[in-house]
Amino acid sequence: MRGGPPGGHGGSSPREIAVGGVGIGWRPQIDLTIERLSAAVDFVEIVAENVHPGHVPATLAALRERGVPVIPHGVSLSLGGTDSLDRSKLARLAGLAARFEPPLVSEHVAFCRAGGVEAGHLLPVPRTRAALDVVVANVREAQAALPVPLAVENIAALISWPEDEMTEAQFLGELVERTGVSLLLDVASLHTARVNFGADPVVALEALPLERVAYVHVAGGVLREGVWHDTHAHPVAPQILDILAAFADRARRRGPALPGVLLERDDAYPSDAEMAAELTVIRDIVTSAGTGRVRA
Amino acid sequence: MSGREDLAARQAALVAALVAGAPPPPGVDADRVRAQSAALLRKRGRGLARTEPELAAALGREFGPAFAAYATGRPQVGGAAEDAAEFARYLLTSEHARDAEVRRAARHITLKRLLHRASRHRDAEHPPAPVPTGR
Ligand SMILES: [Fe+2]
Repeated sequence: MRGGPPGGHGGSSPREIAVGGVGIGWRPQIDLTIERLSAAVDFVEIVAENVHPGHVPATLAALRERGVPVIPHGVSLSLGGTDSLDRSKLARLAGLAARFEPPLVSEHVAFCRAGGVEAGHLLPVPRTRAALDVVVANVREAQAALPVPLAVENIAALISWPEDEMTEAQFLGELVERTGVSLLLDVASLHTARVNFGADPVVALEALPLERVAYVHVAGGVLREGVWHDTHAHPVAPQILDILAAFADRARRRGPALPGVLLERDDAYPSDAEMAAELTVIRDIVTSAGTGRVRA
Repeated sequence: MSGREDLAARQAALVAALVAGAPPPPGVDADRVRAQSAALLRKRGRGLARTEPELAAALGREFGPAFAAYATGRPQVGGAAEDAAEFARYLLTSEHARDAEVRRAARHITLKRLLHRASRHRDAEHPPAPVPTGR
């Protein structure tokens, strides 16, 4: 499974496309919904902490059996933390990679614990040189332990650090350059950064190494007292779909194939029809990218 | 202090502010720390309610306040099931234990946890408790 990106694309940089089309986050609560919508689902992602390689739910095993790519996605490795990486979490990711043979696995540029205390959430790393060194070392360690390539994701943050020395795009760009890691670009996180910190998503898209984006996340959230919460429990807001369109337009300029786009939904699950409608909107944006067609 | 030690201290200070009620780290917006803390509590509560829907139903509208009173300043240890067992123990010593339904659900959870611990000793292959999905 390891190896270079699929060939045949134009452009000067190697492309990192690992999966294409439209995907959805597989959760046990919506396994039957995903089954019913399977014609509209090109790939899925699983939360690594919640699926044991030796106890794979039947509905998930059936998807894989039919050839649907299943990407393990870790949420608690703490690649941005100064504590040493939890070997059992790394082993879980590697075990899932062996079980599902995905083109890659993914995690976050974040920390989840410090001083032995769990935060229970993904927290932003100060964007300093010292922190970048820590993330680089952790990513290299993870890469060495995994049988497939790794992609890392930009998180949705509420908090920022006064010591930040770089923009998020600069930080991620350097991380990619130093480790060869791929990116999982979350466009909902770009929207979150705009609302919560005034960071322009288009400026970020211009600065990020888009040729290194392996796939994309899109998710809904909610504005509470002027702060954007990336809940994964609300419909995807139009402003987030606009960022997806802006990304897709730029990616299309590099070649015909676009990275896959995955909808994350973790709570307050909607009806099959609503879920299908969201997937259709995402697919329309991706397929109309670069054609100059204006979205309604 | 080295850059790395400095970073470790800053990260530990933020986590302490978020889950253990410590003051926000210098220079970090206190309102945002409060907002993040509240979001964490909601997320943790949702995870627990999903794991133990009967306890959540028994508490009804009291779930939110009771969970907040329990969880504030008490970091989560382990997965949602362990958190639920701790919460159940807390409830049994609180005024909520006067409600028969709550008492029954809480006792059931603590008993289930004891049995689970015992079976884990026998079955090393048992998959670890799920953690809430993260962002
Ligand atoms: Fe995401």
